[in-house]
Amino acid sequence: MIQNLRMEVKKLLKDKKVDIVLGWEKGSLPLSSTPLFIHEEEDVDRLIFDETCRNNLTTYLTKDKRKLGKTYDKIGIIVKGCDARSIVLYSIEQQIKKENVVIIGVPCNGVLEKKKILRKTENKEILESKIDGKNVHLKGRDFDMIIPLNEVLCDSCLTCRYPDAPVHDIFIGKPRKEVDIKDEYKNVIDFEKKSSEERWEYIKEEYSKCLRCYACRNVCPACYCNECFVDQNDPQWIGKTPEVTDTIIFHLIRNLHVAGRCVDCGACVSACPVDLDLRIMNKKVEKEVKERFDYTAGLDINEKPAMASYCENEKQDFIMG
Amino acid sequence: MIKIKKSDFNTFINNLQKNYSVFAPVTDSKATAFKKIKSVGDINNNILNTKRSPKEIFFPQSEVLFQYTEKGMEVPKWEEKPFAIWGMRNCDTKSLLLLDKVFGEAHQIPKKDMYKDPYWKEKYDNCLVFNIACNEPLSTCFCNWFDGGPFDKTGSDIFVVETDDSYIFEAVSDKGKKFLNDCKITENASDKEIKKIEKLKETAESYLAIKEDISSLFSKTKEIWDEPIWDEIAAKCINCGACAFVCPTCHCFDVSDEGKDKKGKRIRLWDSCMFAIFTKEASGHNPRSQSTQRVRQRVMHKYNYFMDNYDEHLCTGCGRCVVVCPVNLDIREVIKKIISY
Amino acid sequence: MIGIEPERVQFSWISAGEGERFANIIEKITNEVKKIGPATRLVKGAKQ
Repeated sequence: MIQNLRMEVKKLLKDKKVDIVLGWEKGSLPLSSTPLFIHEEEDVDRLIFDETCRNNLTTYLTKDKRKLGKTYDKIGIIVKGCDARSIVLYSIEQQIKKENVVIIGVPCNGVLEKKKILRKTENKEILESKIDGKNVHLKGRDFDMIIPLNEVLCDSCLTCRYPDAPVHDIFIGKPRKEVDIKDEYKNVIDFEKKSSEERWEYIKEEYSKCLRCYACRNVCPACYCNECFVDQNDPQWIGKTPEVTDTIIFHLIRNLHVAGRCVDCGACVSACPVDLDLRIMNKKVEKEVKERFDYTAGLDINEKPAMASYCENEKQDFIMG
Repeated sequence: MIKIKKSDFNTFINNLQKNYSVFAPVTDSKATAFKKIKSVGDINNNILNTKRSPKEIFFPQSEVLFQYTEKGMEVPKWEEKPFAIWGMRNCDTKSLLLLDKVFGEAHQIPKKDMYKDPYWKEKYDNCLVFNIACNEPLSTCFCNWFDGGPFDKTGSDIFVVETDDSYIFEAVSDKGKKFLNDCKITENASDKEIKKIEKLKETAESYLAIKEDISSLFSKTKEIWDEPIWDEIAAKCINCGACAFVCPTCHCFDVSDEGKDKKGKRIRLWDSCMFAIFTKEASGHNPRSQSTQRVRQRVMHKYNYFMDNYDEHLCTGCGRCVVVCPVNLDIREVIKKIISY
Repeated sequence: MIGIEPERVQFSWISAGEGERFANIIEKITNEVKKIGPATRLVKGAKQ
């Protein structure tokens, strides 16, 4: 598959169908990959695609006030299912011109969550790693273990319905339309069953660890505001310290800002340096949007965004009598 | 050199707590950090590199500088004095020395009555640092590039080596000498054990990656200021603050006033040159609006400006930024790229 | 979802011409909130 992918990318560059291709290459740490910006054909041999390709590259399309789109006319980008949905989102929200982006889909079987792996090795450093079919083989200074892949995949991948790009220009292989997932909102439903005291205690405990580094916001493709609400100081909306109520409001509002736009790529969870449970809130918002408006982000390039459209028959059960 | 058996570690810490507040590496839910311990059971001695660096003891993520009400102003005092930090590593101990150049000591150019940060001094002048040697450095450690090392004693008060069954103490500073004289430990390390330290040092140093010659880093960074290589280096950075926040030497801060009606407070909190609005001015102009400019700034501050001002690089090679970066922008590769340009 | 008591967040459609209904609803909500006491969750500086 990787050979086909590389051939395809080389062809696109040679035929001048694109000026740059965004993909991944092997990272400097075991089990990691890093974004690769390919300008020349000779760089294409560094391209990889496997379970370490965690990053959602679409965020570079809106980074730095859309600098990439201003520097290059045509951009090729290699995408997993969730990533492609981000591009659909960009197209709907008019952040990119779809005709200037060549979407290259690849078949995704899920990506690794390094934090889960480190829990398995009890935080001992991994020196060598190999992904072998359904298992990942890890070697450290004093351990050697084989772990089934599905135990260390990202939580987002375990509930992923659209592993392959639903909208694409090129696909390496045959894309799956939709994968049936049972209980994708099980965490949310279980959480909602708890008493309000229990829920508050959990949220308070969890979010008191937040450093306010904004890695989650910066790595998220849906967050591309030129000035984020946390940075405004005239007026100041929330305090900048990691005081717990300020932090919870930051995450609450960020989740509401990405309501109906979050594709659950899990980049935020992987980026967080202190391993916060970030998906608890946005999975709930995703569930609400799906149930109330029958809308899933990023599937149809012609659909209006859920939060920007009105329907007279919307459920109004939250309004009291 | 005196020693304690590992089986007596609990007693040692309990005794230490009688006279000092003790800070040590703890597993703070999912991220490891240096926190004040209540009892010896809180200490996690199996962590080499905590996720959050110990700079947050001295330079917290958010610190109230003063509070005011109608009645007047109040400046908070550091309550934990004196305090001891167990489990520091050379990279972190050295970073405190670097931070002291900014917050504590006078600037390189001698000047009378140079401002010294009282919040920093209150803590730094009252701490006792136990620096433990790293027997098994991580693959992300590159302290040797910056003249540090797993068995380097710079900056510690007491240098500790961990063997299979003991901790061997060596006094390094006057404060450390006094502590060891006054403490009730009488057991001495045997000659065999002292020889073992040499062996442990050799093994530890063999784990480290080859020392890169960074002597040209200072001049090279200045030479390539206008070169397009910075675009290449900065391309994948997403400008979050993760690297600066886990770095033990990064010290940029923001000041925020939070007040309502007749009471309020002024807070100092961590900032990062990576953030888009770090240099946004009151006029609205932002001299570093582009990601490339900000990435270049961070590299220049660490490996050029600080050397210019204080004769050392603002980095101790702890490797935390390498581990935490969401896009695997490896600073070691950046350095190598610059020196070979 | 995050544990704020539901009594504190209530929605209603009331027209400017529905004075009596407005008064009744406000009284109802006021009593419900009074019953659960002052808010502490998500209130900055409140004793949690």
